[in-house]
Amino acid sequence: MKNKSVYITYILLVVSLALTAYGIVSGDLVDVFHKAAVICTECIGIG
Amino acid sequence: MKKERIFAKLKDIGVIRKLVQIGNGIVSNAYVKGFLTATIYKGPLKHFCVPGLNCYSCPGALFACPIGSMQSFFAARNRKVPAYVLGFLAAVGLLVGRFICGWLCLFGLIEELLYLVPVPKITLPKKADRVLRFLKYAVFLILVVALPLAYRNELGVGEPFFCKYLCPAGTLEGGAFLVTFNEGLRATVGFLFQWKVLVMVLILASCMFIHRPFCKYLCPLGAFYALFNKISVLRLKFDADKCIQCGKCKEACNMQVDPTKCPDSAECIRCGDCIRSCPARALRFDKK
Repeated sequence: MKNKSVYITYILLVVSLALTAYGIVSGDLVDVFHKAAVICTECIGIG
Repeated sequence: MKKERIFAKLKDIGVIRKLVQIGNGIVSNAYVKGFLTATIYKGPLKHFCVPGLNCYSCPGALFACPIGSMQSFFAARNRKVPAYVLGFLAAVGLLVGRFICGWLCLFGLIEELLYLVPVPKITLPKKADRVLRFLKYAVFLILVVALPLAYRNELGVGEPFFCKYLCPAGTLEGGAFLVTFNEGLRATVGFLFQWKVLVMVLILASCMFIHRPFCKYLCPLGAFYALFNKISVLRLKFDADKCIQCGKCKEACNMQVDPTKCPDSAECIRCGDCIRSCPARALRFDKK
């Protein structure tokens, strides 16, 4: 039972790392940058 | 040997965690020029998210906020799946669970410092507390995911509902400073800013009476990491054979978790207060 749960954790970890890599390859970092490099008026309460 | 004794002493009084929290806050917000000029950092590090809640519109912020980034994908005209952000947060959650909340969140540190203010402390009735703890999952699903995905303005763009209407970190770390010192921004302040200041003041004031109320009841990032606490690699291990049932661990836990009954509780932020309080060393951090 314990082994099974360990496997699930590590399989999910591999899947999440693959998802991260897919996001990076498909240009997500640029989208993150475009949002983060300008003052987010909504975030600071200006709208 | 001397080094070991110093380390043990530091560990006993929880100084290490505070140093890590402060160090993380400084490193994540080390763009001094932003504070001097009331602007924000626009360099290459902003491509990457930090694992904790840290507003990217803070003048000192070097990295992006994961919750803000996630919402911007959902709110974009083409509604992209935030694969990088989701994958990154899931990987962090699977590795350490809510350890991030306890050790690497600047807003969590601010809440803990406010709790040191010597005023009477409040523990909510168990039933109300249990219900309110579900609020953070609703905040994640409704304000971070559903509304940014569903709502569109006349230009076909959504809104970051959590950041816009609830997040106190954005107002505290970004808004308060920028609006005070940036004349251009100050001129545009309206009702929304007043609303956000009110929300921030209420949350910060409640932090003096309740331990980490934002983390317990409202934080969508904490809700996301909580999903992984039961299966993460880093675990809180309880050794029933060593336990002398003194109850000190439960008493020490400010998140109201009983680590002898549920060491993998979704509410555990892995601060280690229970480990430090245990005279029988029945609790420890371990890997799965």
